[in-house]
Amino acid sequence: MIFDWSFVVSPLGLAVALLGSALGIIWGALPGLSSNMAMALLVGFTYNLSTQVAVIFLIAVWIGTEFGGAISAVLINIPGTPSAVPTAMAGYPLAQRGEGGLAIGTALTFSMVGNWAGLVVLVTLAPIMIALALSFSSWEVFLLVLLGVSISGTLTGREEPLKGWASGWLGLMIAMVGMDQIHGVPRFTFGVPELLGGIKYLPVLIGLFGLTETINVLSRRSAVPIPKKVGRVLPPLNFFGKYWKSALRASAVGTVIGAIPGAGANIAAFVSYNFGERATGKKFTNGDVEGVVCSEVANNACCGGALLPTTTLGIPGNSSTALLLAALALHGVTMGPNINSDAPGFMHFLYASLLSANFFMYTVAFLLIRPSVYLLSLPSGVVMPTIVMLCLVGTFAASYSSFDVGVMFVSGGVGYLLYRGGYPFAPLILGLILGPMADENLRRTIWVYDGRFHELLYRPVGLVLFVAVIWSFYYGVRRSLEESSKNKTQAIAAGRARASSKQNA
Amino acid sequence: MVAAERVQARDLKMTQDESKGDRQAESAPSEGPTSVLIAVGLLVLSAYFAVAGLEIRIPEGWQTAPGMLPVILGCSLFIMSAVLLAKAIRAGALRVSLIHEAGDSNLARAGIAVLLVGIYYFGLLAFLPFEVASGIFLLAMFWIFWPDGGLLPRVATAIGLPILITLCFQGGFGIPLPGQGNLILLAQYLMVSHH
Repeated sequence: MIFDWSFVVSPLGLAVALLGSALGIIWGALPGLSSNMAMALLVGFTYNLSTQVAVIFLIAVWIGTEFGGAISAVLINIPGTPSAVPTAMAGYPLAQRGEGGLAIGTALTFSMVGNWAGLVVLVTLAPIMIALALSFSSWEVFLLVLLGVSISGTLTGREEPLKGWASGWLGLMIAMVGMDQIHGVPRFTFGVPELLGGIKYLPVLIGLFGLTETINVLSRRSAVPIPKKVGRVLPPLNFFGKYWKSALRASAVGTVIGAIPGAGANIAAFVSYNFGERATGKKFTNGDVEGVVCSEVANNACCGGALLPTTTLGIPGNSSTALLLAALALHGVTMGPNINSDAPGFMHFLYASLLSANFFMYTVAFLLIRPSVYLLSLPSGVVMPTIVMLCLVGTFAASYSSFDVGVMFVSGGVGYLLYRGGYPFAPLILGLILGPMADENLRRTIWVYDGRFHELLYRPVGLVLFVAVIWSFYYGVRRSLEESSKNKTQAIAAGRARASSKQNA
Repeated sequence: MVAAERVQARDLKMTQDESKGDRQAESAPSEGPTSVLIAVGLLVLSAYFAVAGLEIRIPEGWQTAPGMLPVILGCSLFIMSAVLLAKAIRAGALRVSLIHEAGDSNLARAGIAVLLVGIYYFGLLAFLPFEVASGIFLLAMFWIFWPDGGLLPRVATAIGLPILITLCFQGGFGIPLPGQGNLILLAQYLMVSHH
């Protein structure tokens, strides 16, 4: 299929981008509704739209939600999206001082800056990455998948990377269900006809990001205080001159982290926030616009960064791009090194969609900030059951299959357990989507190089990737051991403190 | 509040080492029964995959055996799960109650939510039209999770939302809805039978 970038600036294209941005901003502002949830629900719905409309709409919603989370983060200290937590830390104290509008306006302006940075990186590096990727053999592709899953597990597993890897391995194992791609032999199908085609990742994604989060939010009672005053929203022009260093630093952090498979905007925002505190010597949690800048630039720059491996290698940079990949797969478009021949014009269409989404996010947001404040008071008891219905409709819309609804339900329940156990979802998603690629390329490599495995060491890119995989596991194991040792020391200290307080009593 | 921050911060990379250290010092075990449950589940699943992978038919040489990657994944996940289980038990996960582990989350509410969703997806929709099934589901959910809403708003929303979704998705976008029929289909049937 051929993509024509001029469609983005047609009346229909602009209307779709406007609608998507508005929906994304409102969605992102509502606590408990993340960008991943929005994308997961919309993927099924966009199946019935044309591919070009679907891409523009999804990109606009995604960009919109990444900013939208800042509204509730600043005003009520409940981030609308996980990536807005640092924004809440720096921005909520400002809102308490009556400067909430300024914080949100700054978040919006610098979100746009972040999007631009991500777009520049994407436009510059995408052709280079595609050229490099076309020279990859099955060995490099397998290592890339392994690297993606392992790095994702290492980064998102926090103090226990082993949980991140286990999550990734679980995703890879789920991907093994169905007919094997080389010989057509059924694997783990238990005689169920619906499993011959494998477990589709869309119902799993909707279950994990829609249903799990719904159960999580409903399980908590929370009263949301409605802010009384927003104040001036438009930031002064001198903010650009004042915070350009932080913006530049955050752009770099956001795009680099975005390009790492599985590492999402939440990681980018926090790393940028921490770097910002160290570089400026300030404590942003006292309420500082610069903290908002660091967070928002990074989490939006992440969008362009994440699209880099997604479009050029077919390896999702984060969960949102995994969902974009899923949406395009439904429309028969496969992202990867052959994107320019499989879907001519797609990359330029994508750039134009990002530009359009960025423009509308910036302009529409100023109009939506104050109305969004009223939406913040919507009880979760109303919003979440509605999400449950949308999860159902979204899953059913993509395949008209009750079996997939069952998969979605089971994924939601298992996802809630995994969430409570501290297992991240990003590696699981990566494993699920990339599992077939890993399987096929591993076996092909062994078949081609049978008896000559030493020749793999003479492939420079493969060697670099192999070393990167080993390093990723080594770093994770080291961090895990360090955390175990720290926990042990703290537990001993706590035990001694309790013992001495009992003695004193 | 501390537990809520802990749940939010779990997925985030924070260098607030001092506050994290304080929370860990106050509550000695950092794992709970859920961690043990998941580790055991993964142990069983990975063992099954490894064994079942060996039994998958090999049409040609071992180099392209369909069971190769499942066996590799099963064996490595088995080791990881065993380590996670050992760590969880050593960290005192079995000494922690589910309530304490849940923190600010109410497990009963979570369980009720899952149960109602299950009844809606696999019970109500199997026998009732979409709007009716969804209306009943919403009423039940609002009764439990929106207790402050008045009777009229809850009933009106429970009736109005499914109709809105039907009109929007099936009527507007042509997206078929689950359930045994819906308003649009009923309207089409009535129009056809009238003619």
